[in-house]
Amino acid sequence: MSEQPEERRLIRRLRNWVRSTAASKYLHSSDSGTKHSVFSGGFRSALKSDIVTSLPWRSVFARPYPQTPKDNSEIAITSFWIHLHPASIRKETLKFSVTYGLGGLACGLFMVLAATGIMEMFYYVPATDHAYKDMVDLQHVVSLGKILRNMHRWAAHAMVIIVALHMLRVFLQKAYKAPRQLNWVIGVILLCLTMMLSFTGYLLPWDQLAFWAITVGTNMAGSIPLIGPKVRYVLLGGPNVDQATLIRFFVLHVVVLPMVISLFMVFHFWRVRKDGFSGGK
Amino acid sequence: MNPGSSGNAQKDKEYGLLGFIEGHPGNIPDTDVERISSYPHLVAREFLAFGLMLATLLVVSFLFDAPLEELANASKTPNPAKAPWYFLSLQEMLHYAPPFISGVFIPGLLVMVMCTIPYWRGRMSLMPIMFLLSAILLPLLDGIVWAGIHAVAPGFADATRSLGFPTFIMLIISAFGIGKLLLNPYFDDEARVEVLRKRLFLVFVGIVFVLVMIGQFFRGPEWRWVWPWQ
Repeated sequence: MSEQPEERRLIRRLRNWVRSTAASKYLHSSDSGTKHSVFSGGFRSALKSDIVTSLPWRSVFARPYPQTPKDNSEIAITSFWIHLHPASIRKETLKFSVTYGLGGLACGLFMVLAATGIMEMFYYVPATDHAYKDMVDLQHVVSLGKILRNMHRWAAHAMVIIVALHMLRVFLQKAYKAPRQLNWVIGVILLCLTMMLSFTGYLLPWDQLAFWAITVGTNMAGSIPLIGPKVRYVLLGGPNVDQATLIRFFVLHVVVLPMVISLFMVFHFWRVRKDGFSGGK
Repeated sequence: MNPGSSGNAQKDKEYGLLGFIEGHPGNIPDTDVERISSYPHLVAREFLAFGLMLATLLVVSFLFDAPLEELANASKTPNPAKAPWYFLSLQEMLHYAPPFISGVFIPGLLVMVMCTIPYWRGRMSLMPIMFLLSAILLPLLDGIVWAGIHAVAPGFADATRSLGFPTFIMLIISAFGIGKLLLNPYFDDEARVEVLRKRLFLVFVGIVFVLVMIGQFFRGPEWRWVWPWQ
């Protein structure tokens, strides 16, 4: 049975309309009534509705784009990234002078450090006869390598400063008081881990600055009564700062400490979410 | 926090006693505070802050180069050999007290005492802060007190030098002093404790800052005092 062209066009429009009403529910389009009427479907809107109502799309974006205040709260439950935040916060804690954004900035700096650090690892070989040459190459041969190294270095210094300031801020606002005691302790651990990350990274360029800073630093550990020399030996992997030290510090810097600090960071954020934003109270 | 006093608890609802305990999951939240959804208000601000930070970092990275000195050389000791800047306060203390005290004992103590800060109450909350202060100040006196001990018992002083006994002794004495101070009725008032705690912590942070600055800018060969313009 062959259909007349007129009938076929009508059926197509009808099908588009059915699709787009399904989509409009999903899209929360305010003007869905006019946009997706039987006589104004059009190819683009049909394609759009086909995509956003498809199973793969909806498996990624479980909910439509938030439009109403209720959606804004619900997205804290349904979106992985947003759920790190509480659904709602006290309005006064939004003020910049409450936190100065220090904790968030420390987290941001960590992300920048992870990204630039991974890129540096493409060029860096942790061997005493290689490391320094790789640094010089990174400065002068690799495109934008100098900027990459500068960013990693300055972000590392900034992170130590910002984390320390964050701790000062929390102390002065008494934000460590009940129920946030545990999160203060985790914060102190995070400060120590930040300094350890910075310290282990200090050796990797294998220049005079790196070599002697680590020598001075590990000599202090060597002064512990009785076990000092053994502790120093374990840290250095030998009696002196050498190849064994470089690979130890490299593994600590790029694998062990980032993993540990990430776990503590996640725990820190989770506690913030559970305890609520102190907002200086 | 008290729902009764804020007058915002709902009248037709019954509340358990647990609702009045701060920090308890059953705590009745203040209903008079204005709440706002974190998406998009907070999330947008975070993105903005991240963007500004990234932009600043890029500008700084284009303007200033990270230092890279010559190849590491174990036989060529620079003078002075400086630790990374955040450890310079410890290295500065190393100038006055033995390495065990300034490099291991004091930093370990600082971290542990720092962790206990939230667990002290009332006037006792001054305790950890005063301890932090004395832990960073006393090693600076270590050498002087050691000279005194050496004058009385040179054998004992020499044999125990590396352990930095003077700092231990002074810490114990200052702990007693702090305890005595805390019994003062002046600290019956929580508000006074609060003010003093903040000030003492700021002094502690200030001392660490000054030590770092001295180590970075005012120390030359043999850790001698050098003016930055020299």
